[in-house]
Formats: sequence, structure tokens, C-alpha cells
Amino acid sequence: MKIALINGSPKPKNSISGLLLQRIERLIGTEHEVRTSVWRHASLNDDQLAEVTGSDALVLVFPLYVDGIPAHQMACMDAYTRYTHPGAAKPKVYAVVNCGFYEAEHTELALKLVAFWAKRNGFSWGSGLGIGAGGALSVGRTPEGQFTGSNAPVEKALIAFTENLLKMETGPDVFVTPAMPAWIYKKAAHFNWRRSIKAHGLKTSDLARKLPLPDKDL
Amino acid sequence: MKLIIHDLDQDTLSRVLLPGAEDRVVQATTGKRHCIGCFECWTKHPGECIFQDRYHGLPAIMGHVEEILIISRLWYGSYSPEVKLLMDRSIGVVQPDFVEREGRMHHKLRYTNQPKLTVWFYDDQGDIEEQTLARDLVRRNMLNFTTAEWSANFVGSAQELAGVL
Repeated sequence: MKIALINGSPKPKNSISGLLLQRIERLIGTEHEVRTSVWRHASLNDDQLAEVTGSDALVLVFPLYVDGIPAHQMACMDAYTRYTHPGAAKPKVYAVVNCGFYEAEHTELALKLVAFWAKRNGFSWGSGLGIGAGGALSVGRTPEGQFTGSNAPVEKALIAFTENLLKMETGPDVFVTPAMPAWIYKKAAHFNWRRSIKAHGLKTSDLARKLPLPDKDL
Repeated sequence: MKLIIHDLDQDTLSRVLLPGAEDRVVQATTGKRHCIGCFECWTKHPGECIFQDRYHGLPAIMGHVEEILIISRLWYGSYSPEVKLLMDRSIGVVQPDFVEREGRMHHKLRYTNQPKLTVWFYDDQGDIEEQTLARDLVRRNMLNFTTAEWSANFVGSAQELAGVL
């Protein structure tokens, strides 16, 4: 079975999507032909497109951007559909979306958008996995990338997702959030934003800074 | 004052819309820098995108207008990639801190203007499923940016916008 794993995060390093993709790749194992690709920019060259076309399954792993798909990945999805020969085999499409909000259900629409894109282009839809509290996933992993501790529910969901993928099954979208109370996640996030803004030489109050209306001529 | 974000060519725009003197008109085109998830619009230059191109002040404009009018090609139930790029680069309009609205976590607002959000999608093929997705997207954007009221509207082609805007 040929599987194309796409990391749709624009971040060059330390992306949650990258961690999730690595884990899925490890869970798939070595019995299958896996090709991974990073879609960091809004265009893909022919080599990048050739690498991921012709697969049995296409797995898009990406962060939620303003309730939807990151713009650069949308452009890449267009490039992918343009490149795919009309007579070529159509992949089954799967998606994993993570968001910074606590509730995984924020990702619901983004998964539906990918499913609709797949349907419109004659690809079949497999299933989606939506993950909340994405900021919590950068800690709590084993050296093999297994999500542990409060992130164990995400590990369990990734295992089930990968099993469905390897069986090429179609199923309902699943939503999962690490096992921690929302208030703890919120407190940790607020702490990190304050540490980050101070690292840039600003004050905590600058998080709420209001800017004047810019000049007419931007 | 309105912020008008569109992905039309200038000729088409001039035929379908006459902006007010104070309105800010921003054309979404291909080849622009996309959001890279650096969050420096929250922690290094709060309220503006780090990229110093013509889009970097968009969040601040959003914070001062009475209406945001978006004109976009319908892309599989979403804004076009060009318009979505502008939306992605506008998250500086909110703060990173979280608050709860309608039972879910959202970002705290940076400004208090609560603009009306009006979206016109063109190239609509009349697919109810696609229209439902697009409406849901605009509704979710409304919740995140806490606009006062919103609407998602559909026409078959950009030319049909002439009679409705």
C-alpha cells in the first residue's frame, strides 16, 4: 500500500503537525510504502507533486488556521488536483487537524472542507481526526514519539486512526483533547504568552496593545 | 468606514462596486507571503503582521471599521486561497489570551469595534452542501472576531455582484 503523508504546517521546525505525522508514520510501520512531504509554501514543484501522487491514501496533517485550512495548503491542494492526471488512480483522503483551542470540535469544519474538496475532485473520503489543546502536545512524549501522560487519549486516537487508514476504511470524524482540565491548559497558555512577550523585551500589558488606524496608503 | 477585502481584478471591481471615500480596499492576489505561524503578531509586534508588505496593517484596520466586506471566489466551501491568506494574516486583531464564548474557548478581543461581517461568494454552483460549509465558516469567523452581525451570500459569477453590492 502506498501512503502519502503531508505535513501542512508552515513552520520550519517544532510543528505539532510534524510530531503527529512522525507518530503516524511510526504506527504505519515498515510494511508499506510511505512518502512524506512538507507543504510549507504556497506552491509545489513537479518533483514534490510526483512524490505524493499515485498513492492509495493521501493523509493531510495540518494546523487549524482561522477556522479552516491554512491558505498556503489550499494553494498546494489546488496544485495537487491540477497535477493529478484525470485517468490516474484516485487516493482515499484522510486528515488530521490540530488546533490551539482546548475543544477539538473547533476543527470540525476544516475536516469537512477537506472531505468536500476530496469529493469534488473524485477522491474518496476516509476519515478525519480533530485534536484540541495542540499546545499541550509538544511535551509528554516518549523518545519514540508516543504521546503519554495527559496526552494518552491522543495516542489512542492516533492508533485507531492509523488502523482505519491501513484498512482503507471510511468512518466518522473523531475528536480528542488531552486529558487535562481546560483551566490548566488556559493557565499554561497564558503563562507561555507572557514569557514569550517578555523575551521580546515587551511588557505583559503589550499583549493587549491597541494600534491606531493605519494610514490610508498601506 | 468599511474594510473591503476582495480577490477580483481591478476592472471587475470597478464595475461591481464603488467604495466610499473613507473605505479601505485591499486586493487579495497570488504570490503574497502567507502566515507562518510565528505568533509574532501577538508577542513581538502586537497587533500587526511581521511581514512588512501591504497586508501587515490589516488587523489594525479591522479594529477600526464598522463593516468588513469580503468578496471571494467560492473554493470548496471556503474563501479562495488568496482571501484566506489575508484572513490568516489578520489574527493580530485578537489577543493570544483565551476567553470563553458560547461555551467554547476563543481569543480575547483586542479592539471593541465589533464590525458587521458581510461575505459575498461568487462562482457558486448552487451546491447546498458547499453553501452550508461556507456559511459555517463565516459564522465561526464571526464568533472568533465577535462581529455584531454577519451574513454569507452567494452569486453565480463575479459579474452578478454588480446588482447586489
